[in-house]
Amino acid sequence: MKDKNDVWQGTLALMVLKTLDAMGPQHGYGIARRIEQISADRLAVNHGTLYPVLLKLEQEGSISAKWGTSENNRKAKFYILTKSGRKQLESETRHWLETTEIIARFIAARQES
Amino acid sequence: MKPLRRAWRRFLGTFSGGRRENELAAELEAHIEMQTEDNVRLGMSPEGARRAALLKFGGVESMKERYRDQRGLPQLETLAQDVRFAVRALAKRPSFVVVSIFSLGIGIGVNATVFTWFKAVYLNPLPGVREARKLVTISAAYRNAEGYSNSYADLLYFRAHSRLFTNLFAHEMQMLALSDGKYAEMTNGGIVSGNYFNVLGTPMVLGRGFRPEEDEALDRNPVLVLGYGLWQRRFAGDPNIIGRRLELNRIPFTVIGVAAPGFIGVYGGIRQDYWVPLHMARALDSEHGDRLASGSWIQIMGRAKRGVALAAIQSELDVLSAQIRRDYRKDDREYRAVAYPLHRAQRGFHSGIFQMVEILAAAVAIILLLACLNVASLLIARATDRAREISVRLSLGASRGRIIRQLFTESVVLAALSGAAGLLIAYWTRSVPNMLSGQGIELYLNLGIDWTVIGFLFAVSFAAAVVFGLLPAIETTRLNLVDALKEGAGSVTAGRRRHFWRSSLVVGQVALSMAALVSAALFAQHLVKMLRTDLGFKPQNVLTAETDLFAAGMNESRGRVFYRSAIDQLQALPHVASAAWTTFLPMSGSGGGHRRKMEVQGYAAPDGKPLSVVVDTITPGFLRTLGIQLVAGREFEWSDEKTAAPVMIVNEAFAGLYLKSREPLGAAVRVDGTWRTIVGVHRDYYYRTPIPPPQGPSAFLPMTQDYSTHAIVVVRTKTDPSLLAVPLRQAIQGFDANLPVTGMMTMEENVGYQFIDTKIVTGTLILFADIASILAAIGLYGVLATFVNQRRSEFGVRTALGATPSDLRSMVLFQSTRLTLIGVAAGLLLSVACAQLLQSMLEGLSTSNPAIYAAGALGVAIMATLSAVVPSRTAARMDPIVALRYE
Repeated sequence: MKDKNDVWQGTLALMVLKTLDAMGPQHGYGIARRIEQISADRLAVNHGTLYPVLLKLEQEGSISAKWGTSENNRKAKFYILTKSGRKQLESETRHWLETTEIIARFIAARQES
Repeated sequence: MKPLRRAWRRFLGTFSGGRRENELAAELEAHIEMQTEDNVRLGMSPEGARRAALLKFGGVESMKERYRDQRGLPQLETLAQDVRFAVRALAKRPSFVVVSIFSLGIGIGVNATVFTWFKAVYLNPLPGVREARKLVTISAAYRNAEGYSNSYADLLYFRAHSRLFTNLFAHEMQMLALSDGKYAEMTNGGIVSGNYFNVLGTPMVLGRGFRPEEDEALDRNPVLVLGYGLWQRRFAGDPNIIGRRLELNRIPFTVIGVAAPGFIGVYGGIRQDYWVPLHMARALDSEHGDRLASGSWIQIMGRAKRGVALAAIQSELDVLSAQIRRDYRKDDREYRAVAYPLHRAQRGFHSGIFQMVEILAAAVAIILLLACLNVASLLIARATDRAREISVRLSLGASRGRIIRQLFTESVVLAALSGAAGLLIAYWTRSVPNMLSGQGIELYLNLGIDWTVIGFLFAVSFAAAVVFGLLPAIETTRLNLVDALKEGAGSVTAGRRRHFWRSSLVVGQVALSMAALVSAALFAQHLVKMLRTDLGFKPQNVLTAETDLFAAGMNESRGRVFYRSAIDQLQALPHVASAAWTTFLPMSGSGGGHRRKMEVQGYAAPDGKPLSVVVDTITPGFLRTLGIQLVAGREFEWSDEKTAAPVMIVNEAFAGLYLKSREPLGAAVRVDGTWRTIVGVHRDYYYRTPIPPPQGPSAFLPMTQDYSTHAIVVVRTKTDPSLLAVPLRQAIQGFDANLPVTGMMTMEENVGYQFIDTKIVTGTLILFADIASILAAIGLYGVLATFVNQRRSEFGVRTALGATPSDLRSMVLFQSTRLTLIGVAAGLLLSVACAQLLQSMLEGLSTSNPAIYAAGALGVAIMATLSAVVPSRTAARMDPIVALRYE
């Protein structure tokens, strides 16, 4: 149970980092919307699960947070990718690609045999 | 890196509760409202939009909970909660807190105090020395007498033949007249081998230490390293001191360095002011010729190779001792070299204090245990009061472990407060050895409170919390919920069990305090016995002072005139009974014991070798002045001149051993080649220590025939001897202002020097035993007070049924007496065990006096009676109406 959660948090963290990288400073709702859009609504998750991930990333220093005003003039907490967060994004993207490639090969190999 | 950073942020997050909580709520609210707005825009009704937004978000509260868990460290938060709760709970019981902190603070404080002493003699005994604890000292021993000095030849021999030492060095100290051209003062100089500072690793604040080659040729290198203290005191920390010329005993030396602050040499507890090379020793002391070529006067120390045990060193020394006896100590058939770890080094005060610390450690452990028992007893008493609170919490679903943890936190908070109180106590009491050592004796011990002391305090406080807190915590939570919730009914079984616990604790306290009292009394008896020993001389009303004619640059003919005229001048004073010079004062810490070769006419030594007998030199009237009884013949006269017939005086031991059944007066003895006639025999006296037998054979020579440049004047007065301090100084310096006057003290002070260790340990033990009794009294009082309190209704009923106040009082007294008697019985056994232990630690301690044990029991009984006064009066005065209404 916990392990599954960790994996999910890890994947979600990568998505958050990528979103902030692509869109610049963004609030929690914006990040959630963006993830839904990119996944073409195939990834329907409770938005609430996002916040513990944001907290963990903030504690690790990958993102930093600041209060600001949203496009509709609402006070919201905006998250920004930090320098170390960008580095983390790069390394995790590479790692993710490698992993998926290996997994893909395994699956392909099984089909051949 | 990242996990570490996260842990740190979470640690910080633990302490920023409220603000972060509001922020989180605002952030989530913003999220949901933004979603709601979007939903409205998509055409939903406002209520529907919000519901959908909440649904999309998931459980807000469960998410917040998860968020919080990640934000801080939950365990830490619970701990902080427990601590806050504990502080609140304690604040409600100020009297309990005061009594507990009083008991525990003393208990922890005295432990910390003794720990600073332990640190001063064992853990960190020599500031400014690298790895001081690894230093090993080598002393000479003869038969059963240990702790003698070594010769320079021994140092060279060990250096050449020992394979277990990396380095060996020599040191000794000597009082020298230090002059900077303006004025001279007597100072304590260290005379050390060239590798001294290198081996010790002492840093220099200015200049450098000795180079080994500076200690290879006699008189060649008059160089000097100043101690930090003297540099500050006498030269005001002059930064240009290097290269300065100073005179020691009129011989010019050049300052080459200043040692690091704190470094005072390696003579435990004694401060040296500066150091000079060993090869300058001859120049500094005219009397003994080349002291490197002959004489045993140096201390040897060294560093053993890594991993070499003391036992291995000792067995190597045993082999080397045998070779030395064959090679060059042919006369000393009983010579043996003995290795000691630093804290048992035979010179200085460290070994004596270490022995004392060993004994006191047991005493302070008892005090701490007593304090813990007190607090445990109070906590168990509280258990009854708290039964309802605890049972409510248990029935509301708190786990027992959680409550135990919380109660234990209370104990830890209490212990921490007591630890702080203990630190204050330790701060004030750490210099007790200096105070108890007596006037005129300066002890230099490293008594600073540093991190080792603070760490020790923390450890002791926590350990105390475990000792006094766990049992009560477990006992408190052991509840029958149904019984406990019924107000007043109380749990009879729990009450009985608790009463049993508390009674046992009090019995233990009574026993421990009795053991403490008995131990202290044993020491006091030992001290009194030593102080009352008939020393063979009368130390009352005698004033002494030292001078050094060589240091003043006085030649022999003038010196002879000085010795005579000083005595004449002193004896002319109205308050002086008599006065004389000597080279050695009995029962003083240093000097004396010089052996000379002798041959007694008509006595054949068993192996045909010359005898080696202790010889001191005195002027006429010395025996009378010091009160040493002359059993036959006469004292020396001024007419026993250099040119007159050579004479000597011997003690009874000498006469008994070498002149058996012969008339000692008139017998001929050859001392260092000169035949002398015995003209007097005196009673034996205690030479150095008060441990019998007094003294082996010894002899006196007249100063007129055996000139010495270093002498001690003894003056017997008809009044308070300290009144003569000024005239005595005048008698010496009036003759020559360059003559130093040092060590001016009364003979009683001088003798007291020999009892420092025992005085300190006895004084401290008596103090500790009193503290132990007070703590035990508090414990007994607490139990009796609860006993009375819990039986209010019973007393009320009894009074209503016709019991008189004295009946009630005797009920309480019976309770007190019963506990005390059991305690005394246990205490007797414990005291006997303690006495056995102490006897094994302290030579000559007699433990057989039954009066001591009776006195201990009596002391405890008085203590018990006193602590029963108030509770028994409360019981007797109990108003039956009030007592019954109390329920």
